[in-house]
Amino acid sequence: MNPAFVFTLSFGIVIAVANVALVAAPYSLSDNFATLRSGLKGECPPSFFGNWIGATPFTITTSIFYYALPLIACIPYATSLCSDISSNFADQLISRKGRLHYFAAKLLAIVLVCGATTVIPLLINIIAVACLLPQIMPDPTTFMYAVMASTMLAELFYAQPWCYIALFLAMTFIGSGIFGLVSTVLALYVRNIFIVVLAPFMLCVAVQLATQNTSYAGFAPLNVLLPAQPYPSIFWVVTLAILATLAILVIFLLVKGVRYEDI
Amino acid sequence: MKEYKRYRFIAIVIFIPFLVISISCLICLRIITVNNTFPASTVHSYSLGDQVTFANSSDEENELAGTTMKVIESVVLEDDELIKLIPYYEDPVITNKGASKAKILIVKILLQNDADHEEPIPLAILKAREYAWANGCDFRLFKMLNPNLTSLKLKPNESSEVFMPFSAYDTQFGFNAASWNEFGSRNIRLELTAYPNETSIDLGLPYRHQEAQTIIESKTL
Repeated sequence: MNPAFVFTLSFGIVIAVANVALVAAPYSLSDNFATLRSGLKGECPPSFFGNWIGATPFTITTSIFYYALPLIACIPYATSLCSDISSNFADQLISRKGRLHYFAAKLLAIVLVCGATTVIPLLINIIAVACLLPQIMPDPTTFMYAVMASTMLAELFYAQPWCYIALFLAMTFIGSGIFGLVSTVLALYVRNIFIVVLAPFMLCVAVQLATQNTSYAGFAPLNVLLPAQPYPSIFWVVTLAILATLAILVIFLLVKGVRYEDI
Repeated sequence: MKEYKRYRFIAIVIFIPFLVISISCLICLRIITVNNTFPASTVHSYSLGDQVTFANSSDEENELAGTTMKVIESVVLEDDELIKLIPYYEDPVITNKGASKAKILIVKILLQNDADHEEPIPLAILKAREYAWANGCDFRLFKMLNPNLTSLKLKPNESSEVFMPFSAYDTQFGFNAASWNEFGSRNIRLELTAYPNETSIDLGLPYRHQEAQTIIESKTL
C-alpha cells in the first residue's frame, strides 16, 4: 500500500477521532452534561446530527480537517501520473492497453483515491459519534444546530438529515477528486512535486481569503464542502460549478492523454 | 511449510471476516442501545383555538403545569407596516445594518392560570418556526405591544391576552429568496417544547398586508 496514502489517511482518522473525543464524548459521558442528556427542564439532549465533525464548524478539529482537505486529498495519489510519465512506466502500460484506456483508468483511480482519503475519516467519525449520541431529529427551535435558514439545503437537513449528510459526503468525495485532478493537470507542466501537491490547498486558501467578509464567502471551496455551512450559498450554483470543473478537468486530461507524445 | 501456509491462509480467511462481522455487530448494538435510550420525540400538534397546556411530561418539577394557552390569531407585518402601528418602533438589527428588511410575526395568545397559586407567564418557552427558520420572542417589541401588562405572572384563575412578536430578517434567509418572500405562508408554527414531546401549534395562514392593515386600523391587534 502507498505509504503516502497510509500517512494521510491516518492523519485524517486522527483528526476525526480527536473530534469525537473533544465534542461527542463529553456530551455522552461527562457528568457536566448529565442534565442536558437527561432531557429534563425542557432541554433537548445533544443529537448526533449536531455533533459529528461536519456539524461543528467552530471546533479546532473541524477547522483543521476541512482546511487540510485539499492536502489530505492530494498527497497520496495526485502526483501518480507525473511519476508514471517520469519513470516511463506509463509507456509500458500504454503499449499494452492504449492511451485512452490508460488515462481514463488513471483519472478514475485518482478521483477514487483522493475521494476515499477524505471520506473514510468522515465515515469513521460518523460511526463513532453515532455510537455515543442518539439520532434525535434536528429542530431549529433548540438553537443547537449550526444549520440556519440561510444555509444551502437547510430544509433538507431538518426534514431528512441523513440525506443531507449523504449529499455532503458525495460532494466531499467529488471535491477531493477535483483537487487531485487539479494537481494532476499541474503535474504535466510543473516538475516540483511540492508545488504540485500544495497548489489546490493554496488556491482554496486564496479564494477563501478573497471572498472573506463578502456575500460570496459561501462559494469558497472550503466553505462549500463543510456541511455546517457557516456562510450561505446556492445549491444549483455549487452543483453546476462542481460538475463543470470536473468535466473540464477530465476532458482536458483525456485530450492530453490522447496526444500523449506532446507531453 | 506448505501445510503451514495453507493453515495460515485458512485462518486469515476465517478470522478477518469474523472480526469485521463481530465489530459491525458491536457497533450496531451500541447504536441501537443509544437510540433506544433517547427515543424520537412524540409529536403533539394543535391548531388555532386549541387549549394547550405548558406541562412537559418528562419534567416532574414543572412549575407551569397549571398554565394553559390558546392562540387566537396571528399576523405577519413588514417593518414599515409595523411603524404604522407603533410610530416609535425602531429595529436595532436594521439600525445596526444587520439586515435591510424585517418581517414580524405577531401572535395573539390567551393565557390562563388554572392552578391555585401564582404562575409566571412562560414567554421564553415559545418559539416560532417555519421549516429551517426559528426565533424566540422579541422582548423589546413585546413591551411595546403590551404596554398595559404590568406583571409577568398570572394570579390563580387569572387570564391574560398578550401579543407575542417574533422577528425574521432577510439576512437570516441568505440566498433563499423564495423562503423569505413566502415567510408566514409555509407551515408556520408556534413551538412550546421540542423533546421528548414536540408540542406545537399550527398558526395556519397568518393575516398579512391588506388584512393586517385592516386589523391595525380596527385596533383589534
